[in-house]
Amino acid sequence: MSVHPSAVVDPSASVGDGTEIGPFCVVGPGVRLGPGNRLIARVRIAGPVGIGTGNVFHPTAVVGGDPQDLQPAAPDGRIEIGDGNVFREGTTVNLPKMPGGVTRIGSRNRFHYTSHVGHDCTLGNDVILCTYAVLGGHSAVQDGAWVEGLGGTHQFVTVGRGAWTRSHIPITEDVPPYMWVDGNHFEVKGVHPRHQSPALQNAFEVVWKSGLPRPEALKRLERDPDPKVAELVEFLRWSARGRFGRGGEARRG
Amino acid sequence: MAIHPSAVVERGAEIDAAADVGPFCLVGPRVRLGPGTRLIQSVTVLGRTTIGARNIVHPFAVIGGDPQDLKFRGEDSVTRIGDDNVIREGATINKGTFVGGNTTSIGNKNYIMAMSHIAHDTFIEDHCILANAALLAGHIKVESHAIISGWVAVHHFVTVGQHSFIGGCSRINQDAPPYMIVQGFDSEVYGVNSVGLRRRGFKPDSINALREAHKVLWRSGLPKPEALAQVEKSHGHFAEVKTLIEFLRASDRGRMGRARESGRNTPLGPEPEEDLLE
Repeated sequence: MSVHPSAVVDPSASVGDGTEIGPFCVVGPGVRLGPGNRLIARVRIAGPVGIGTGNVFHPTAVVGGDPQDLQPAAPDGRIEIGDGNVFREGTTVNLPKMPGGVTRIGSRNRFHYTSHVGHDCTLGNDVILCTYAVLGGHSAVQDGAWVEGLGGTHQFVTVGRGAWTRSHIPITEDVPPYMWVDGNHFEVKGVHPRHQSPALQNAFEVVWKSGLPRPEALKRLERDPDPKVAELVEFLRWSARGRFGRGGEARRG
Repeated sequence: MAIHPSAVVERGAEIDAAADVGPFCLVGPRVRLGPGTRLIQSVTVLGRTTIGARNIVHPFAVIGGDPQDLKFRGEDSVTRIGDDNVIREGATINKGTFVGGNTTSIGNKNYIMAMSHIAHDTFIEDHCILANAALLAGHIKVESHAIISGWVAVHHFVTVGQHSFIGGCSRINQDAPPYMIVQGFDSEVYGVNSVGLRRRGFKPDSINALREAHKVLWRSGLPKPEALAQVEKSHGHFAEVKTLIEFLRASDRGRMGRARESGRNTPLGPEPEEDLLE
């Protein structure tokens, strides 16, 4: 463990072995930093935050700020961060506002310059948020999804596994797994090239190109043996239970 | 008063006994901080800047920096921030220019989210929200209760009307009318911000009157002056509709759909406070 003399580390914070805290960093009371993390310089980590191992925080990243909401942070909320994440410059991760809530980040995610994880968000693993990508409050991003820059999610949106959203669009509805979306009015454009398969291509065409009503289209796909198609069908059914195309809306209030 | 030992507060700064300056902050010599204002960490406040009471400024925000403007010649301009504002991580608020009236001013109870930018000579009234990475170019006026969503870029000299809602990723190059939802690449008026108006206690009658006005003004295809005259006749007795009509007429009097364009090259803002002038 090495702490630069100019850094301000609260005595009640726990800092793991081999963790480096660079110049002008602030680590607040109660922070739990696991082993092998690196705070390069001018990083702020404060509040009830638990961080695993091997994460890198670049200058001016801020973890543990209040929710960007007119209501205050929940007194018993906390942030949990896994292992091997990279937080680039200016990244912000905020505390939850729901009582007992958790803003949760998995492992091996990359957060590019000034990307933002809002209050009560849940992220899986291997997610990429590009420059200026923003996750609104209560959003969820599943494993391996990629959110391009200068855009981001409305509150309560879920981005499915392996999905891809193009840059400079507002994401106002759930993004189905393995698909890519674009456009100022949220359009599912096709199967993510990385997950391209005849089964998924067929599913895309049945759901978004056939003109069938959604329940009927999903019924037709039910018998498809492909597990990714099954996941897609389940996601779309879950999503339809919320309002405004956002399954997470059911959690509101 | 709590000033962290690592903060740099230059001689001449007036910091209220109940203000709080966190680690690694820089407070310039002509800055005033009111009671209860809190600079969390690594905040930079420069220039002739007055920050009122109970504001919370999050890490890496820079307040009172030089304008991003080629007309700026190093003049001694002012930044003024009222009470109860929240300014989030990395937000930048620039001071005024001589041409623009010397003052950048922010009212009370505004919420300015992470990485947003408020350029020189911009006036923000009260209760406004700027979401992440909202960019306000210079000389803009934002009226009370306006909400500007994420990644919105607002052109110079635009007026954003009261109680309006600007949707995400929009490009606002003309005045955004009050009480309306504006979204898209060409500042398109979508409809009445009825959710926002209901939340703020507007009467259903007024909201309906605004809806009727919206239909005539933006959906009927009538030429603008005719539509305005018709709305004035049918719903002009509603205060909100009257405000809307006056706003649109002012925009038409300006150039390129921006009322404040007519004030280009003449000072637009109120005079800076006397006691701040040497």
